[in-house]
Amino acid sequence: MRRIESEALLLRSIELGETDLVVTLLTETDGKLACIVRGGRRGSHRLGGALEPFHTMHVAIDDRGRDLSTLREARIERVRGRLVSTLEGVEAAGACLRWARHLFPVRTPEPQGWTTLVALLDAIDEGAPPRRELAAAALCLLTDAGYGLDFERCVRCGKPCPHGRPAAIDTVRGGLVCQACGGARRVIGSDARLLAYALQNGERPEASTDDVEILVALAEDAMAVHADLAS
Amino acid sequence: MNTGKLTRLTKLLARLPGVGEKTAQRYVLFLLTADEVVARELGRELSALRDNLQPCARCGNIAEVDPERAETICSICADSKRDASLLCVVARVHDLMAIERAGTMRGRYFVLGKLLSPLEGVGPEQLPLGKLTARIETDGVREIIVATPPSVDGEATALFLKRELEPFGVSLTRIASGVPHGGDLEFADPITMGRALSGRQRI
Repeated sequence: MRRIESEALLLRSIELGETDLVVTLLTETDGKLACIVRGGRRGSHRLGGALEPFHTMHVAIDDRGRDLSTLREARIERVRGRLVSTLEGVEAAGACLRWARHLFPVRTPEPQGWTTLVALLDAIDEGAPPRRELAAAALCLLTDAGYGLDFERCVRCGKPCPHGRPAAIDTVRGGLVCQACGGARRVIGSDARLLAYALQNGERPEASTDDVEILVALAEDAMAVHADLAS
Repeated sequence: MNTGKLTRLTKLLARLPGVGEKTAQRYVLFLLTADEVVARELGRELSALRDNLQPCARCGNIAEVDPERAETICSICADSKRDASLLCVVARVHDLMAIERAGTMRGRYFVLGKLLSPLEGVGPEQLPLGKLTARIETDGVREIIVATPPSVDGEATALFLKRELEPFGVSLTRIASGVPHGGDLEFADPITMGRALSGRQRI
């Protein structure tokens, strides 16, 4: 049996029987893990208060290499009180953690994904616009999982697309498809394209609500291509 | 020995929450060996359960079906002594029962049935908001106590209700959360302690 000690984020919590919980955690060291928490639903349980999404936890897990590990200890390391006090913040952070749960395979360390999620949660907690941060994190999560969208050049022929021009985006093919290669049904404007490029590169420019929502929808479509988001 | 029926009943009982196969088998054997009246009475009550008890048409609480009434109304909604202007919104019937046990709530209830869940993708469209706003208007509700649990889902639902119900001009309050009665501050987690401090009261 191996003892895993790591920072972790709660991705999901499901009730099991009368008093137990099965939690899905994204750990910094070992990636996504499912753990059983015996007696975790009892109000008096010592881990109960720590098992909340959006706050960074420090966890100790007994891992026997099976589907379900056992969560032994959990304490909150970083409380994000401001995030959970706004509906927009909770919705944006919740959507991103849900996508991460679907995108990342189990028992695979995701250092980039971890950094992306923690950066998203911290930014929202510090008052950044939640939807813009969600768009940025969603595009980065796709890249972290190996499904990044290319807004620079055609994914078929490699031809660069000049800046300041709208572009056809095919989420199945992984990004921009030029007209010579058949284009795509979804066309995004030059501003949304510039915004996507900036967000992928860690910049946070002022953005219109419409462009942000275009990118969130685009990223969600791309994730649905690679993962069953409904499960 | 023909054990088909025994196995079938055991499997049915094992589907109940908190009942495993062994416990289910113990129940079946008890019902077979104890006074016959117990098994027959239990069977009668179980077969009539879904006909006799239904969700209250107004609040979602469990209500006894009255064949002489057009709609099924629970005892709390039917109680004229209850303050109709005070409405307590809860997530589940279990929560309503817990508040009723405290004996201090003299208003009425509204059971949402579920909570917003950002992690599970449960969105506002899945909450019975139309029914709740209709209730506010028809009952002349003046105060709404949001008694959703002190979890992220419960807080998200409370924030959503605040946003949606503010235009109705009702007073919106949230149940307090913090260190439990008899609890020890030393063992309180940081979130609970933070809430206890931010929700402090003048003495």
